[in-house]
Formats: sequence, structure tokens, C-alpha cells
Amino acid sequence: MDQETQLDEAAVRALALAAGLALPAEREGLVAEQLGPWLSAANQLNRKMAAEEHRAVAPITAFVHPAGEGDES
Amino acid sequence: MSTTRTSSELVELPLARAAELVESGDVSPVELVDACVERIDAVDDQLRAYITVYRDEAREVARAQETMQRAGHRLGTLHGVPVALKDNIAMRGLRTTAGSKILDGWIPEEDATVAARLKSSGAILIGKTNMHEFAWGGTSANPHHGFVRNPWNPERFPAGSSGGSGAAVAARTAFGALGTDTGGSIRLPSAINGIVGIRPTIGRVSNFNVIPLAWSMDTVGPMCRTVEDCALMFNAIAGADPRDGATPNVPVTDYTADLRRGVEGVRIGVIPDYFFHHLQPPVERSVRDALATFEHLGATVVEVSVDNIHGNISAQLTIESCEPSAYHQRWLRERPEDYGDDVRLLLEIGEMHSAVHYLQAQRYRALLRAEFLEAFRSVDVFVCPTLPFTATKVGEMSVEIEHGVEEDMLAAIMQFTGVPSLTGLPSLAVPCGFDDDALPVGMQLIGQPFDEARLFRLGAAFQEATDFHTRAPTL
Repeated sequence: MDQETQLDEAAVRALALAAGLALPAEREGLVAEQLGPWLSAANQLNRKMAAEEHRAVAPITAFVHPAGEGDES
Repeated sequence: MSTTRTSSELVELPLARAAELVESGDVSPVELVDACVERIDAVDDQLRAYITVYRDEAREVARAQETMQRAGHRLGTLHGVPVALKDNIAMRGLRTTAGSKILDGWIPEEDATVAARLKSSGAILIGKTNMHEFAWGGTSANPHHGFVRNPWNPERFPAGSSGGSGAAVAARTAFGALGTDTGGSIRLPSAINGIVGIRPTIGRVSNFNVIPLAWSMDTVGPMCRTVEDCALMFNAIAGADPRDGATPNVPVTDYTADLRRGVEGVRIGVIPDYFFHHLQPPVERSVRDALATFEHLGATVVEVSVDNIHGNISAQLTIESCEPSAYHQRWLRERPEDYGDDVRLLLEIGEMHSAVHYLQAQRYRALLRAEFLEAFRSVDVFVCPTLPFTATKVGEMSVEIEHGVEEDMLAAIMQFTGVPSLTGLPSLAVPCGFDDDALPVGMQLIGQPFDEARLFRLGAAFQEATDFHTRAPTL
């Protein structure tokens, strides 16, 4: 695991505060244990996708036009 | 109507055969419904595969369909055949819970498009199947409606999240079922319960009025005992839906048309350093044997490399964390105690990723999809295991793939199903063996966008050459 994303309960408390989530203190340890490895992996993916060779890659997000939009009336 | 078949014999019929016998008048819809209800009553206290069984409603529909048929009118190809729906698929006027306590009293005002299409094709909806709460998990250990159990060994899990659909079909309580698949939730329980299931190309099947897990990856698909049955159900539900703007007007075909065409000349891709890495030995053995069967049938196996395949599990976990947490944000604040422990934890975690994590994962999807589309210049399909292990014990949150190493269940179970989920490619799960404890092993066939017909063709050829799909649990 990356040292940078080893989370403790205080870090989880700060993240919950930023998210506007009233996380009970007894859940902070549970969240830290599961979230730490996931954020490590996500940060590794961040580094991959930030590489120069992938600069032109756009995210898969879609703007969906509702049926009938643009039809001539 | 007349038949000499017992209820036990009727429930053993594949869906396609049951439909034929209804059409010929040899079996009545009422007989099929009664046989399924009898079977549900016999096994479901143990399996907990259903949340709601429509005993009276299904019989009423069956009687009406019998009358219609006597008058020479058939609704469609599934006329009179009982099937089940995962309980995150809305049915008008009937409780739809998504396996949750939060939606326990929800009565939808409209059918999901897939439910309406099944009804239009003549299928009789016999019940709603149990599932992992809100589809957010892979075990179907549901704290509100009971832990679903595996018909091959009720001490083992049925995978998930469509575990109820998988167990219901494998246990012969319905001729087919619908599941939903975000990160593997159709394919995983199909493999673990020894049945067939397809995750369609994203957009091939409508998600209208299906309770979402992660909008950008959710799909609906059939789960049946044979590839032919799956193709028949797929015929009924596939196609653009004006009520779901993510379903393009790509023409649908008759997905049963090519089932007998064989696999001569088909190029099968494998990615050796990923698809055959980190597996329980019986899984590796079964999938390698399946590849040999395909070669014997005339296909060629080609080794392919996909440079950026590593990273897919993280991308999947990030997207599958963030999107559900957006959907559930209000409930998580107002009713957190109404979630099961595991789902509550996942929803809390989803709130703590950054937007950059989410968008880099969505950019990774584009990268991985482009690499797979490029690889499809040299192969027609990919074959890999559906998951790296066979059924674990009910309720376990970790799994041992390599001796002595316990791994987190959620990440481990998505090792192979994440690729189609992220890339939007269709993927067919087909039974391909059993382990030493007689638990099923499944493989995945991954195809090009909207090329479900080719997957069905390969799957049917494999089932024609093997007998894994004909074996039944002894429950």
C-alpha cells in the first residue's frame, strides 16, 4: 500500500466532514480500513492516467438527448 | 390440454422446450405455473431465492393465457412460460424492494420496460428474486430478506448480486430469470450456480424503471439453463427504448438464428498474463479445457496482449463506489441504520473519493475500451474465466484463491468481470466444468459491441459439445 494513502480515523473524519456526512465516530475505523487500499489503487490509476501518453483520452461520460429532441415541429 | 409429465419433469424442461410444448398444446401455462410454484414451495425455505412469489397472480395470468391459446391467440414466443425478475426491476402495482428495507413498501406505478416486454412476449412473471441489497455486493447475503444459498450446496454462496435469480433458475423454480449486471452481477451468479447469463452491450437493453446501482455501467440481462433459452429471452427484451435515452437505434436481430452455425474459423483471443493468472486450479483447468473444446470444434485460439488491462479493478471499484453514493446520498443521511452493514460501509466509502479519482477511472474506461476494440481487429471474441474461484461458504467476506492468502471478496470477485463492465462490451457466462466438490465453474465469452449473436452462437456450440449444462443440483 502507498504510504500516502494509509488512512487513520482522523483522516476519515476530515473526509466525512468535507462530504457533509455525519459519520459516527465508531465507524471511522471501519471506513479507514476499507478505504485506504482502495484509495491507494485509485491514486495509482490517477498516476497512470496523468501520464503524457494519455493526455488526449477523454472520460466516458455521455450527454443523452431525450427522445424527440431536435425533431422538427 | 393433456400431459403425462409430472411437475418434477416439467420443471426440468429447458425454457425453449417448455415454450414449444405450450405452443403445441401438449402442456398448459397453468401446469407450468403450478409446477414452478410447487418447486418453489419445496426448496425456497432453504434457498431464500425469492422475496415475493406471485402464486395467485401467476395462476390468473396462466388461466387467461390458456383461454387465449384455445381461441388461437398467442402473445409471443414465451407464451405461458414462467420466469422470475430480480427485485430491483419494477412491476406496476407489485412491491419492488431492491432487496432493501428502505424500499420495502414501494409499489411502482409503471413496469420497467423489460418487465413490460416480457409480458408482451407471453412470459408469466412468477416472482421477484432475492439479491444483494441494492445490488451493491457480490454475495447475496441479504440481511433483510435472508441469505441466498447455492442449490449445488446450500452451505455455499450463490454469488451476486443477482444471486436469487441464479439460485432460482439452477434450482428449477423458474425457466429463466432476469438479472442486472453492473460489475458482474449476472455473470458471477450464473457461473457459481452453473447456468448461462448474458451481460449485454451497454444500451442494448433498456434500464427504464430498474433501480440503479451505477448508471454508467448498469445493464439488464437474462439468466437461463441453456444458451438457447438465454437467446430466446434476449429476443424479448433487446432493443431501443424511447424511455431510456441510452439505448441507441441499433437494429436487433433474431438471436437464435445462428445457434447452429458452429465455430469453424472463429478467432478466440486470450490474454495469458491476465486471464490465466491468480486462479484456483480447477477454474484454470476447466477454462483451458473449454478452449481445447473450441479448437476441436474448428476455432483458433490467439494470444493477445492488452497493455493497460491492469488497473481495471480499481477503476471499477471507484466508479461503483461513487455512483451509488450519489443515488443513495439522501437515504444514507436520513436512514443509515436501515442499510445492511456492508452496503452502508460501501456507500460511506463512496462519498470519500475525489472527483478526480472518478474522472480518471472514467478516462481509464475509454483507454481500455480503445485497446479492446483494437484487439478485435485480430480476434472475434475473448474467452476467460468468469471468476477465479468456485463457491465459498455463505456469509464469508474474504476468499482464499492462493493457498493461505485471504483476499477481500469484492475486489477478488471482479477480477475478470470488470473488463466488460468498464468497456461496455457484451459478455456471456457459460458453465464449463466442476471443481472437486462438484461446484460449478464458468467461463466468459466477451464480444464486440452489439455482437451478442456471435456470443450465443459460440456458447450454443460449446453446449452442443459438452454436458455441463444438463447436470442438475440434487436439492
